[in-house]
Amino acid sequence: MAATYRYAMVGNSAAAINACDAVRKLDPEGSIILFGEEKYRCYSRPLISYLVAGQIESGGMYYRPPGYYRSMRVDFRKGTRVEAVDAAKRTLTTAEGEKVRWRSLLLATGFKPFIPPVPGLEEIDYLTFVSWDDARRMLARTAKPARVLIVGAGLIGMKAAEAAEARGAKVTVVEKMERVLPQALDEQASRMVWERCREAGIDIVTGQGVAGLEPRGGGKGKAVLDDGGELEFDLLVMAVGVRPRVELAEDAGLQCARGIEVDEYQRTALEGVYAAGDAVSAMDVVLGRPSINALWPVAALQGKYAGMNMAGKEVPYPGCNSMNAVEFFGLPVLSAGIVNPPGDGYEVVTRRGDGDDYRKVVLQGDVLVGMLMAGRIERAGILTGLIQERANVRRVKNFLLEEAFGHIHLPRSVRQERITETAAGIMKAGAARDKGV
Amino acid sequence: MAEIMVIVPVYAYDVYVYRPLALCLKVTARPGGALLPVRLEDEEGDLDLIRIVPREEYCIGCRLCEIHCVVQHSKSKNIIKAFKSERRPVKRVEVEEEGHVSFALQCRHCDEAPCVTACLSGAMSKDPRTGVVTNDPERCVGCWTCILVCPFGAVRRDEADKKAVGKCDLCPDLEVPACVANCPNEALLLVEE
Repeated sequence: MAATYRYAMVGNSAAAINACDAVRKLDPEGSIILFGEEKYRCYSRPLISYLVAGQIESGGMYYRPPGYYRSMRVDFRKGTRVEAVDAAKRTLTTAEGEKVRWRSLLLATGFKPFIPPVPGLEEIDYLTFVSWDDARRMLARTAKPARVLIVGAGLIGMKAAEAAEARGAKVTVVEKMERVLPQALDEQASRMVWERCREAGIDIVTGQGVAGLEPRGGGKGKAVLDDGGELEFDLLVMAVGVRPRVELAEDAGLQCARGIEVDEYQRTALEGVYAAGDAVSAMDVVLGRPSINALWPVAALQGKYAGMNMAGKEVPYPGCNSMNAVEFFGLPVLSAGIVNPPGDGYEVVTRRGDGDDYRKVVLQGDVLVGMLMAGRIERAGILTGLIQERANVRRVKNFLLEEAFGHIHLPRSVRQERITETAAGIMKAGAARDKGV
Repeated sequence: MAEIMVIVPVYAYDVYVYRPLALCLKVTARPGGALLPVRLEDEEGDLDLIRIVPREEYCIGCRLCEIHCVVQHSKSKNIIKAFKSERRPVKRVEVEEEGHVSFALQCRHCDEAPCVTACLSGAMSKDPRTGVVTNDPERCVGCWTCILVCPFGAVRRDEADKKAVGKCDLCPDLEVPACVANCPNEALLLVEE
């Protein structure tokens, strides 16, 4: 007889953990089981570059304090892969053959690296840069000065480049598009990041793909580029892109042409089955349609709403947008919504200040649909908030790029309501004060 | 209350004219802080719901709240050392000003705080008991995601010690937060619900 759980979570990252938090807040009693494929407690995936660069220790990787699962009364199955889901019988089966019954199930299966077919690749011991194990492998293989070749200049590739550089490696990045971070940043910000990387000694080759690879043993090899150029490397990192991991959802009977589809309550088409995180296509408020935004904060938010709905509190997911906060060699760049307008019908305003100060807003009529700030990033969230709310910014259009832009520019009634009414109450007690809250 | 009369040259409207004057009076004549209308703890020692409410009709944009916030979060908590010799912490309250309107704004400690959900490292958390949103500088890696998502612009880079963010912590060592206690005009009120 299989054990029965009120909630089963498949996944052990941002979405699943925030779902557990949300469930526990509403349902202190219901039993929770959580399956994590890796051998770690929940850690923050985006921090692997900080770990490799030596900016944090291993202990700083964990997303929740020690004892988290016990204190939340979550039955945590470490290093356990869920192989199959039977939505009709409401069971799941692990790789070890254990069968578990559930009443509601969360699929938070995340993403997997996309590996393009490159001749010779299968004979090379290459890395992706998406897990703690990847970080450990990079640390080991950059212990001695190494030549590192990174294929792909997206967020993962550029963070891998920065981390490898910090390890003293000679880093080259090859990107098919004409610039770095082509999706997250606009041309100007791309140039600024490129400049910083160049100053740090990272070579970036754009407009080139890897046409073939020649293994030399021990993970080393030679890459031949589209134009015939050759690059020798000691370590190859493939960072071309990521794809949603939908095998389990498909096995359960869901159509997943573009990620796992969910409704506004994070419910899939199967009764009792919810989904959240990087595998999911959920509402993007800027695009006005579901989209996959494989980003940590988006996954966390979806997980939170999935958890609330699983626990019976019907709260619609407010939607999100494509948000990025990055920093390369001391240059911070924040962006939200549409930074590269896909066609006509958009108004783009930019401002270049001293040094690295660069900001940009993208408007569609009177609605703010995108922003980017580099260098001076303070108060960027005010713009992100307006984007998220689809606010009409007609009256404040001329102030959006000002450093002092804020609630002062909003009509008094709107401002007062936001500041005094929407703010939550907070409590402070003598005891809490003495100890430091 | 003489000091209040001195530091309210509202019509002059140049902060640089009266800011040094106000500061001077602050350290010499008013060590006790402003009068406050509320207490935080009732007689049984229970938690009271409080919030800081800015009153723009009384704010003159003197920015003393910002200054005393910096002092309170400095190493020495000494106004001269904080500004002249130590690494200056970031202000956790900000005065917004346009024409004759101004007000001070700090973290709202939101119910559904976007910064807490978005935090990559788990450094930003909301105390389930008190509701106070705090950032743990030991766990903060300075990824700036909270700055990206805070709709109030209330989180700032605070690289005084390490790469991390700073935000209003409601002055855990004080009965009344420094910005409220040092406002000469009661333009920041601590309100009990």
